[in-house]
Amino acid sequence: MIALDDLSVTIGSFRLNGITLHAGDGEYFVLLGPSGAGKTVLLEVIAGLRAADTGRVTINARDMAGVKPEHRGIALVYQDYSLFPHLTAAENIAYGMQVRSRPDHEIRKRVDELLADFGISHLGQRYPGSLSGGEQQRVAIARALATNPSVLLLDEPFASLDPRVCDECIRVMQDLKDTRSVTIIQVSHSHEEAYSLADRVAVLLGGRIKQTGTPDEIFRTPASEEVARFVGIDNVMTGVVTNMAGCSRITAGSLAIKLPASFPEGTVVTIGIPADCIRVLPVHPEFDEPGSTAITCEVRRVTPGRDCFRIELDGVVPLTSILGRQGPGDGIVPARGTQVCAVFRDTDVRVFSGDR
Amino acid sequence: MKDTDGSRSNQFLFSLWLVGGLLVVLILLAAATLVIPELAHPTHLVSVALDTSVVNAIVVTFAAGFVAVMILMVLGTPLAYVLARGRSRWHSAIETIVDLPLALPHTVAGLMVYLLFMIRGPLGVPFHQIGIVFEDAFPGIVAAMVFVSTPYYVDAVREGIVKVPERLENVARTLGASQYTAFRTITLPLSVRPIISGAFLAWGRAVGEFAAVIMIAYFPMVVSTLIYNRFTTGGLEESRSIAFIMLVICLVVFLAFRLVSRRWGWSHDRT
Repeated sequence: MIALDDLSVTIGSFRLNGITLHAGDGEYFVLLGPSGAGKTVLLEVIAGLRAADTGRVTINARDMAGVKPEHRGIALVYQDYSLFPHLTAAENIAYGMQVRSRPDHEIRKRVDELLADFGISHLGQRYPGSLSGGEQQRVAIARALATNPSVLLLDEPFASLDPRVCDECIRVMQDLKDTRSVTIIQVSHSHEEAYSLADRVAVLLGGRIKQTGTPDEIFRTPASEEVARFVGIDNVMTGVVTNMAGCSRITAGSLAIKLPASFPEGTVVTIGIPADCIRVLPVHPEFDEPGSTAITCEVRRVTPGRDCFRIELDGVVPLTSILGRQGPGDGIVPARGTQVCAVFRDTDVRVFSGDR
Repeated sequence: MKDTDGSRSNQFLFSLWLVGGLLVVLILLAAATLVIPELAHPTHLVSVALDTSVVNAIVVTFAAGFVAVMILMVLGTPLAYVLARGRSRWHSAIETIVDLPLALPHTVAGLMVYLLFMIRGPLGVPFHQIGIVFEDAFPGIVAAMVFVSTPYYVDAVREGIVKVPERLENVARTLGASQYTAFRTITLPLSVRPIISGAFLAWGRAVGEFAAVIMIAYFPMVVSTLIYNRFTTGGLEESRSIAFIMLVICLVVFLAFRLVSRRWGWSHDRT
């Protein structure tokens, strides 16, 4: 169990403000934020390596004020893994037990167990410099777990791995989560990792926690436009509700968008339209499809991807559309600068925030 | 295209060699003017080498150099560590103070050491009370050597410790090590190389010191003092023989150091 209460830290001109979060025993908590959001600093504060300006860290109901890092029962794994380069993998793993003066036979047994658990028994005598990124990561996590910490702090553990190794390491972490009762706080900028691993996610933007919830809550129902943009929802707009003919709509730019549910007049709501729900059609002056909205736009940019084309449109509001590749030919991809008609169904409009 | 490029860069490198090589020639030429006449008169060389005053001077020089380096290691390593880890303006002020002996003429440094450690000096008085005298004594030589070689040791070790990531210490802390244990088990072993090379640099500086040493201790004579003394009184031939002996010893120590430092200690670029 670990709790942060109204924690504030200043690093140069940057500030983390009023950070409050709570992770229960065995919970996998992912702190999601863009690079440079002060996530590493926050972990160092939790570890006691850096002092907070205000606020409190509580681990297992014990206030950590004035408690040294070595007595906090935490372990920290940095993004670069920070293995001790002059010690072998096995000696790295043994380090924590050695400085705690555990008996030799106990250390040997535990190191062997951990090496086996992480599938790296054959690497025990190797030096970190000769290990691959994925291997180093396993050694680092095994080293962190060797002293049975109650909280494991992970700093972007997958950021420096290539994608194939990364997938494998995410599996290692999933196993870890299932088999051990350690509370894990991981900082990350990757939505993918948050989805694959987190029990709960907190979004850290501009030095503050903007939303805390399960991955589904964060990614499906972001609480604000800022969070919606950060979690990658396209076509985010905010507007004031007006009710007409029993139907709620908002006006964004000069565009009236029908909402899929009713809201009281005057409410400010944030909506998003998933890019793959926006169709791009040739301009059609008398286009009228019931339950749909059509906007005439100019194609500003077309970015080909592996599975799709991403089309950015300029109209009364800027829109982004994703056009799936269907195979050879790919239907019609509009060229840059052409006039097109962007169409979306009113039922595809997602409402993220606003009082219902 | 490739060929022209290659030959152009070769021409460029060659002209650099032509200019820069003059320094190498200068050193070799200087060594030759010392070595050749000495090797031509081996009997004279042997008689000088067995002269008690020469042997004494060599022993005094190397013993004092050794003690000076020991003192530097004990006092200078902690200083290098705090300077390496600190980032405040305060720290850079201290670094400037540490480097001061580099900028001073050695006679000035010698005078400072003398004023400080002479029998009536601010440090000379308390040391005198516990029976240690610096003027014209072995401790005086050591004091002068420590003073002039401090920046060499502290700077080299500091540079080395800066290269040991602080994160390694942080990880050690979270694994249960106290600050001291983290320093002893992580930072220190990773700094063995800079400590050895710093010690060697400082030692070289110390055993070569002349001006600062004679200000406080003309006697017992160190090798530099003896060479100067013979040069002014006995003549060129005798001082040259002592210089040759010193050259050989320093060369042997230098080569031994190169050999040892290649094998000893963890290197940052080892994979």
